[in-house]
Amino acid sequence: MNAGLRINGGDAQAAAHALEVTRVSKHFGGIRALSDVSFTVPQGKVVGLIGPNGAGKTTLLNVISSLSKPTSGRISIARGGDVTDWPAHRIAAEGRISRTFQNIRMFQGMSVFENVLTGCHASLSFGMAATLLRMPSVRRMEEEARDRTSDIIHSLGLGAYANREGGVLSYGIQRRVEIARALVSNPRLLLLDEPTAGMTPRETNEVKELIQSLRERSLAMIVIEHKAGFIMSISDKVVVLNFGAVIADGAPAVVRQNPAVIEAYLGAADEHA
Amino acid sequence: MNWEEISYWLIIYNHAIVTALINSVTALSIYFSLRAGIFNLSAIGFMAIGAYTAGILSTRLGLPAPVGITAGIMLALLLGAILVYPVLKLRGHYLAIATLSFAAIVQAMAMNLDGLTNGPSGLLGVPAVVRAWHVVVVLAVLLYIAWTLQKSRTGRAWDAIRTDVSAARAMGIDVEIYRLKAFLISTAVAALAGGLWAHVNRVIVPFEFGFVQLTMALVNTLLGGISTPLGPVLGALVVTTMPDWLAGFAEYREMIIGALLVAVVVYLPNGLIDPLLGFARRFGRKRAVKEASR
Repeated sequence: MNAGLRINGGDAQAAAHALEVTRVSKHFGGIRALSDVSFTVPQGKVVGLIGPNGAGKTTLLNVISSLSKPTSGRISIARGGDVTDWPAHRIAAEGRISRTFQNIRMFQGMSVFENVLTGCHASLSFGMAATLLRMPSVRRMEEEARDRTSDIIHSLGLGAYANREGGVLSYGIQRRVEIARALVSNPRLLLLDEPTAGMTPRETNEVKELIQSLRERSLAMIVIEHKAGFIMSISDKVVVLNFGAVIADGAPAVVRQNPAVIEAYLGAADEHA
Repeated sequence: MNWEEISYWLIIYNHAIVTALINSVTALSIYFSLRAGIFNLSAIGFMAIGAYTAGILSTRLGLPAPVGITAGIMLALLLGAILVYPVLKLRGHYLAIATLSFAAIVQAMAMNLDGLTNGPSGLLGVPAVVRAWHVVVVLAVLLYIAWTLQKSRTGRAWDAIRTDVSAARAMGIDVEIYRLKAFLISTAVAALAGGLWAHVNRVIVPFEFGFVQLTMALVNTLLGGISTPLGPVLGALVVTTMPDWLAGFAEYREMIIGALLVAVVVYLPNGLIDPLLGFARRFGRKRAVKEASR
């Protein structure tokens, strides 16, 4: 299924973590969205990030991808060291951290193909002058990017939608387009914010298979999800947030038994049920 | 129509044609900003700077037109580079108001710096050396640039920034740099339009660089649509030559254009160019199908 994916996560580098979050806090005015959050993402592993609504999961992803700056704390990656002060585009381009969004963010007016092609931005290095002079290197890189885009689109089963406008497709399809757009830049760390929200059980299963196949290729990931069974089956470790603080961090089987987690997360889920 | 009739027609309508072409250049200036999601209204100000620089250098120092026009572009870029820092920190309406204020300041200076600009009575006797074909060449070069960029990495970055800044950043796009590039290209093109206009119209008066002219330039751009650089050019050509088509209704021009703009914004939010291109594509496809079935 994923013949076209070329993932570069596996070059085992001196045991460093793909990501290390150290005592990160984020305050919005008087609200402490994150307080003293610390955890690591080991190379090539999948970290499931769970917690009740408003626990700070998305805020944490925003801080990691630098769309929002932490009030205090430190974020470092295997290659690049301390990246806390890097702007968002550098985190994506140089830090090779890609992400999807909980509230889908398609580029309106662009086709699925163009959306994914835009994800290649960082891997293309030519500027405006070279483009206008139609340098052969530009053409070569552009063709290579188009091939890569096409491969990813087909391997994610989006071939039939390539020329449709992204913004008008179903939730499930748009989420997959976002994943394709994040994968096309060949990231070292992938952040998925509720990748199966709004999906049918069949689509959910496809995403699960996709995540498992990416994990086999040693791509490190953080996955936010509400579906407990889903997260337990894909994760190497699970981090549980509640009121902006980590209340559990460990293997899925261990975390599942943790009384604090049962009370905060599963207990809250029961109330909704 | 034979050649004599065509050349007669060209002479009669020469001024309208050149004006329409220069308005197309101005519309392209606005296009570059809008394409990157910058609601930049300073174009008319930079146009004035381009026009006055070219006019002053040719009337006072007798410098040839290309030198004056180039100097105008350089001066505009210099001022643009200063303006861009405070302005690009702003978003949406705030940015629009700040850039509009800049244009108003330029117009006020043109009115009041009598020694340099000859004030409200205007700068007279600028040599009319720019011909329609010069502007056609300029327009062709600009269309090439705009067309090539929109299909490139740069154009995709601008489109991404216009529709979703956060998602654009997450794609590794340096939003500030790309907005800066769009702003400066827009500035240079506006000054170029001004410089050309000075050498067409012979006279430069401050009243030509006011809010009404800015509105008309915006109308040209939006009426045509910004989904392709052909849109603003189409818009400018249609609107500028409209009084000649409307003949008897010329005094209702503003009203008719206003109504047309409302209709386009409501029914064709992507401008006039979109359905035209769609039609052309469908037509092309039908013909291809016909040929294939033959």
